[in-house]
Amino acid sequence: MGQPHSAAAFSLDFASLISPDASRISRRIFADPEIYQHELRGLFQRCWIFVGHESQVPAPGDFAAAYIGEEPVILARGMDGQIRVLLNSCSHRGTRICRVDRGNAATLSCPNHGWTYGIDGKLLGVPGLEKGYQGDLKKSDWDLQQPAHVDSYAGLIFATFDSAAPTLRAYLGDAVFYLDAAFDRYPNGIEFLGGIQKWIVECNWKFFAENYSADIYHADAAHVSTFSITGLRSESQIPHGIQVTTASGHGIVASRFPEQSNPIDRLPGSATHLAPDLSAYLRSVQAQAELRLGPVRALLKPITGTIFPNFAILPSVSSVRIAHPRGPHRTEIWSWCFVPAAAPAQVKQSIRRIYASSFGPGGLVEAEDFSNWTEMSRGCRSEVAERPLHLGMGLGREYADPDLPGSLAPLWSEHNQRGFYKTWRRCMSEVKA
Amino acid sequence: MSVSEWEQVFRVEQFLFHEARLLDERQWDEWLALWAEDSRYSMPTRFTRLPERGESQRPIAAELSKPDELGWFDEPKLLLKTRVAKLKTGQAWAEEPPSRTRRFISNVEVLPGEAAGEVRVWSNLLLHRSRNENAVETFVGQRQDLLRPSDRSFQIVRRRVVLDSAVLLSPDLELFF
Repeated sequence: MGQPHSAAAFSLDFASLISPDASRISRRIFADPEIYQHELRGLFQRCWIFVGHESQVPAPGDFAAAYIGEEPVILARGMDGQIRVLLNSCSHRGTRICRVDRGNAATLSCPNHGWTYGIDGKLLGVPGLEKGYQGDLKKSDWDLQQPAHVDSYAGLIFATFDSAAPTLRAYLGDAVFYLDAAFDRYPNGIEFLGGIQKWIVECNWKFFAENYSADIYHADAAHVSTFSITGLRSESQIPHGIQVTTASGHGIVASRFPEQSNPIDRLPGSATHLAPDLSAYLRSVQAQAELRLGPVRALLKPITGTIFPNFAILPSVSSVRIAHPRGPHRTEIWSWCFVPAAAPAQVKQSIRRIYASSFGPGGLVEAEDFSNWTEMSRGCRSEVAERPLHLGMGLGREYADPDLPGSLAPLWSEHNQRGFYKTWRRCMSEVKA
Repeated sequence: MSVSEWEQVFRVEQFLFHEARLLDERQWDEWLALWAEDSRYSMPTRFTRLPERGESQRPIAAELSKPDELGWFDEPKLLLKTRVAKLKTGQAWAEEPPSRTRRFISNVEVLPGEAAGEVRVWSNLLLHRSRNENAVETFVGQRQDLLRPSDRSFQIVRRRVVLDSAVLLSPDLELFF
């Protein structure tokens, strides 16, 4: 954990920042540098944070650079085959050791003084161990630090620096029920395609989290240009839509089809009709997937979601992404395209093309989101705006369903955003200032 | 270089300068007309990597997403048309108000292409984007074009744009490279 912060230097009345039902939110939480620093400690050092997928490091020695909040880490598969997450900071003087995005190596050497670590994080070599330290350095005390816990779900690897954190399964909680419907559909699971889209948006990271957790409301106005030339509407893209908030603040948007629905409508993804090979493949594995998922989830089609705090899933375009916080007004987004591992190459290519043409910073249905978030962040810097922000859509329309875990609400609501900010408030309040 | 080769380079340069001006002046329909119907437009993502054992050359190609991996763009002319139609709605908010762009094309190198008369062209692109009140973005990269002779000029058959950035310092790519 970071340096203890004196209470005098920092005190926040979270109740005044977020109303009890989270329908009113202070602009300050998107702009205040002290709140941002508190988020790094209260959320990014404590929650389970996504670091990558097993398929990024298939062979012993494979590694990929990643971040946990602002902390650079290395996702590495040891020569023993085990996946680890290493703090990318030399134990000697803190230097960031690995400066590349990916590679394969049995050892990593610090370019500064040459301390050399195994790809499993063990300190192996120290120049001048005898001459300089006179043998007075126990190497095993100076391995690269690792997070308190690392675990995976469907090959998606998460880590937390909080030794008291719940297990990943417990943390994901009710979200697993819905995540399975997106990721546990395919004979050999999923894999990430090579290539990561990485880009900077001058906005607060929470606008990313909100957008994928629930903000269906923006789509018709924000994406009106592409919707008007293609005839799309958010409602038609998400028929029978629901929002689900879980106890840990995860938010999922899904279609819940009636039993009499056409199985083709329930296929994961959007625009699959544009790629006959893709829809043929998805149909070929559908019966098996629906059998495995059971009758309730056979009728569920997850569209988007956010795993608290900063990991987004977009099964509708076969993507997952993370928002790395880079200050109150800066976010670095990394976006991947995932595919069924066992699908024919041609099917994987269809999925890639649908994602790349529609989503990401060059995507026909998404490009404008990022400048909107930039302007949201700008508006939240206002010193004179007196009213809190309004997140009250659909308030009071929450309901429980005996078949579906979590707290449900109609598609047209800001239910999941409120769930996100209630969890934000709880996590932020739990951390000593 | 023979006189005819020199003339070829000159004609290619004039074509690229003309194309750049059409984009900077937002004459998108005229710009689209420069693309062959069977054309393809792509832009890989890129990354840094460790050299492999014994590797001393550090080829650029090994730092780019492969054609079957996730890039920024990989599309036929139909999608370029869709992008133009989107910009023309006046509601494509990433380009509303439209940014003021200036494309600088340099280091033009021309080699024979695959079919008769086609040419492969390498050039450097500096794209300066001035947006809203005072935001500025700069994209620097290399274009790899395949041009086909058409009338007394050329058509773009294939364009691959390789940006230098591994992480884009721009919120969107709602413009043409």
